[in-house]
Amino acid sequence: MGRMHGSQVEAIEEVYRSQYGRFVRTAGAIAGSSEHGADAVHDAFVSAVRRHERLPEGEALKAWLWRTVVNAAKDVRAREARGPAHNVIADGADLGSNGVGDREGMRILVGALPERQRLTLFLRYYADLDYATIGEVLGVAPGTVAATLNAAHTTLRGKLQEVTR
Amino acid sequence: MSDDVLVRDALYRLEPEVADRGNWAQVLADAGREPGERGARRVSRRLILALSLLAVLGVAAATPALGLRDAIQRWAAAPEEQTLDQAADMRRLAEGGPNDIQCIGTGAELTCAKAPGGQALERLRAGEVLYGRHVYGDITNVVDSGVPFLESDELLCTAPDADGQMVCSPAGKVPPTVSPGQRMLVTYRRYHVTFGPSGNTIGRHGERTVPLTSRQE
Repeated sequence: MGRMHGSQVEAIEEVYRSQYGRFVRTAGAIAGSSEHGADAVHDAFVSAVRRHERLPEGEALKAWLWRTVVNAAKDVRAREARGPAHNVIADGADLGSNGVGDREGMRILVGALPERQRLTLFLRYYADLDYATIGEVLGVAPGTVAATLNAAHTTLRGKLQEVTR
Repeated sequence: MSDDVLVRDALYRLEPEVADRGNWAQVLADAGREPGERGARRVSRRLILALSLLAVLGVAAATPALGLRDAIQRWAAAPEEQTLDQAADMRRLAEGGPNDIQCIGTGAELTCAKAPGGQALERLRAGEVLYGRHVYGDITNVVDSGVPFLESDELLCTAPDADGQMVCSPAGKVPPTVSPGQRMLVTYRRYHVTFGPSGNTIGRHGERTVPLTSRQE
């Protein structure tokens, strides 16, 4: 590989360093484990550095990176065929009032959502992305993001109210 | 509680925070290599991640440490000067102190100390009331996001004194406050665990009704 273009690689590095935890958390939720999530993030950024000269800049770069991480995590998940989306939290890691039974129920509930709803939830709450960026990542309009999020909320609302009262 | 906060809160409890900072040097190195050359390096990266995740889980699930009030007061006194030291302070905050505590007293102020020996589960099975350390991370915008929500009986404690005693206040009695730039909060959360007929543990949610508020300088 030849000498890399400084500014664009630096821009990719800045996103990596500032949002690494969010990337892994989101990718881990999609891929089924933090380790697989970290693999997906690593693969996505290796890919980004390799093709940095052809990548967009600014906010579009951020959206491209998120899309690549999401796709890499989906690939890892498909490859590993690990079942439910959430396998991350170790059993007994929090014995307290998080409630093992409630948490497992939530896992199943989230795992049963349609993929777009699930990804939208992860990108909204784990990645903390705004609707416009989520729309760019998933290839849908911001209005569709809002509607998808609303649908996910509606599905989850009843169950969540049960476990929090 | 709004749907947004409700769902965010539930999702935050499902997925652990990631404290690992990644390995940018490895990304650059792998970007300059053919895919087949990456195996050995990936193994070592996985090991590093596993260790850091263990550390995170260990922090989140077990070892308590406080000094929260002292730390908040110190930062509030000179927030700008403390910025560079803050991460180190918070790490220290998260790394020391007892895993589980027991308390005496009622009302807004409790006197607490490290639970004497034995596993938490066994002590809970014996009917004791314990609080376990809980760490919230990546607190970035308390006012807007409204998360994390604390349970009303979750405790905010001073650092242990020379005798290992801590003064703790339930979040429902003394609303928890974070300072500008503070990214981590350590509390003690009561173990709400009962045991089924077969000895299995049954957890339940407490009342998550106490939001963090931010300190205005």
